[in-house]
Amino acid sequence: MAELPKIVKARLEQQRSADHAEHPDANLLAAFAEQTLVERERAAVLAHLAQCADCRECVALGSIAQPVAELATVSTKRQWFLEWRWVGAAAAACCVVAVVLQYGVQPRPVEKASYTVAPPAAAAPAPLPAQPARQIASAPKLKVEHLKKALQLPAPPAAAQEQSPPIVMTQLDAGTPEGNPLAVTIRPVEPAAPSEQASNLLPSGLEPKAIRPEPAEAPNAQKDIAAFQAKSGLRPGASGFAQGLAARMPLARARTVSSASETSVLWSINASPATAGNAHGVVERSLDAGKTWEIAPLSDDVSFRAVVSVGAHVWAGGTNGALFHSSDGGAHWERISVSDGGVTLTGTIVNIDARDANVIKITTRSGEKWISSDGGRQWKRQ
Amino acid sequence: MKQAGQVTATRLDEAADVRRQPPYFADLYARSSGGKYDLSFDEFAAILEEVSRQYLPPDAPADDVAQLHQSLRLEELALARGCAKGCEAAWECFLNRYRQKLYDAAGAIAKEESAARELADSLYTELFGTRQSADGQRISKLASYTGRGSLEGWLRIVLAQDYINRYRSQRRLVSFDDKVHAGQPCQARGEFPTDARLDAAVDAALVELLAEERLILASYYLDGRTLAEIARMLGVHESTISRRVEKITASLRKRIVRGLRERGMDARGAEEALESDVRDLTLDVRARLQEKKG
Repeated sequence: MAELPKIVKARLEQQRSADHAEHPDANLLAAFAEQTLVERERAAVLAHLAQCADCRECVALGSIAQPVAELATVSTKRQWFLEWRWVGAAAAACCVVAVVLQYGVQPRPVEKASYTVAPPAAAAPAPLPAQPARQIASAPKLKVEHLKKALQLPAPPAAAQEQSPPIVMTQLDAGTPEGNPLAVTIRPVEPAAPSEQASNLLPSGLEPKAIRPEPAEAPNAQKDIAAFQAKSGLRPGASGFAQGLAARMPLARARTVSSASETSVLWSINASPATAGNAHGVVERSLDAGKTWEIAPLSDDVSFRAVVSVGAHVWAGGTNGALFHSSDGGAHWERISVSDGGVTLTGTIVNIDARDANVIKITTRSGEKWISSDGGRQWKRQ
Repeated sequence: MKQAGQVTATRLDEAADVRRQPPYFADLYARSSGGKYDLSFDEFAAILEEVSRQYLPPDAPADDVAQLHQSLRLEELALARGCAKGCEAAWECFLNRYRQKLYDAAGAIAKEESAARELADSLYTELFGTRQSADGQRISKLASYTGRGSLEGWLRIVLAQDYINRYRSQRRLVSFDDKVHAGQPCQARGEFPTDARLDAAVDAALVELLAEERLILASYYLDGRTLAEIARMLGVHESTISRRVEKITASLRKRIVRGLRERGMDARGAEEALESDVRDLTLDVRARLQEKKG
């Protein structure tokens, strides 16, 4: 507290002994202490108190003896703003918490390991997030290691990027048609109605729905796939949609899953970490519902991007237009040459849709579509 | 001694006064429950008129008078006046309501049990009335209660006044030697020679203070009251008083410096005059003597 110069104190003390012949009576002092005097009387009592130490002491002692409850009442009359000050502070804190909850605790796309598919009841795709740009803005939590993991992904097909079912939040785009996995960018998914082509990618009875990320450990891809299948309700053997989905799974060891039977045989594409720089994909098979996996004896020169199974028929495709077919559940494989009128498929196969053993549809990264209606013997370019 | 004719004339005047009573008096009387304490309507009306005479000028507008009457603590006023009149019911009610509060307040003021009890008992005696008027009626201190504040607040102020009077009378008995041993300063006022310009500038600055500002300064710097005590006196928050003390002190300092410059001092001289006051030169004679003795 600031110090008052000694001379001021001295003069103040000298002046207080001035003429105050008549002190206010106890009634007025009591009313002053209780703040019930009218303004004129209050001013007069104040003027007296400023000069008279004895009356100041009376009022002070009387106030000391005042019960706490009465003091609180008196204080409340003048200090309402102090209470509102705390209310204002509490409101500000609530706003901060609300903002944090809205924008700060958004699921981080890259860190999420598994996706689930909403029940296939509604025909329309689920609406996109209201403010995708803000969600992206909240994604700076993306770390370098996340990007490194993402580099191991098989490159998603360009066509699938354009016409895929709307995936919520963000998706990883492995960039160039040449499949340069270093060109990883994050972009929001634009709202788009499911195209006919995208719908064709779906197994029958399954409509494209919003896919929401769920927290899971990234390395546990097998569990993720099992959980994914359990939640998605995908029928084994109808894995086109699963391939499109898996192409967007930002996992180090994302698998494209196809099931050869209702019970236990699963097929997947696994991006090997040993060749992470080139995102080399191999075809793997599980005979125990995803607990263990074995690599299918296929060409080492091909980096596989898609696999699908219908009953005992398995189709696997990858770079340089390589397409392999097995009619005995993967025991034996043969390479299929895809050509139409002298034009041979050379692009990277990123999606295979097999509605049954005869009708097979292939999509390349450049967006070419090839269809066979006789089990792969003849192909037609669309 | 009054003559019979004079008595008759006085009663007629009183009757005329009663007839001149404002109509709202009846309502106030009903609200006061004066009947419970043996107060008649006329007695109550006389109390109201006494109160208005005490606080308002004779030519005060009727509205002001009515406003004052309406603001009174009517029930407590009737109770106090009933006690002063010696009504048993009023005393019973008073003791039930205020006995414990009175002792509590005395304890808060005296801060020592025996002193507090003595203070409270002494006030009880005054409230009951030990003195008698010319016609043999006891004079109770409760008869001076006017209902401006609460009866409890009035009792606290009366207790405080009694306590201060007792303390002052005891303080007069403290010898000069005791005062010196207690370390209290014994300087006479106006003992120190000061620059007349400084005194004038300070007085001029103090005159400009508002009454409340002066009260706050005096309470804090002269009486040594805490911010909380001053805040309680004025019914505001402690932080408000803290801010005001800072503001008033700074403002006062500026005014004094300005006054000194107007009286011919330069800025530096004004600051020095304000700071280097001879009162700051304290000399502890006792300590010096002990040093030399050692």
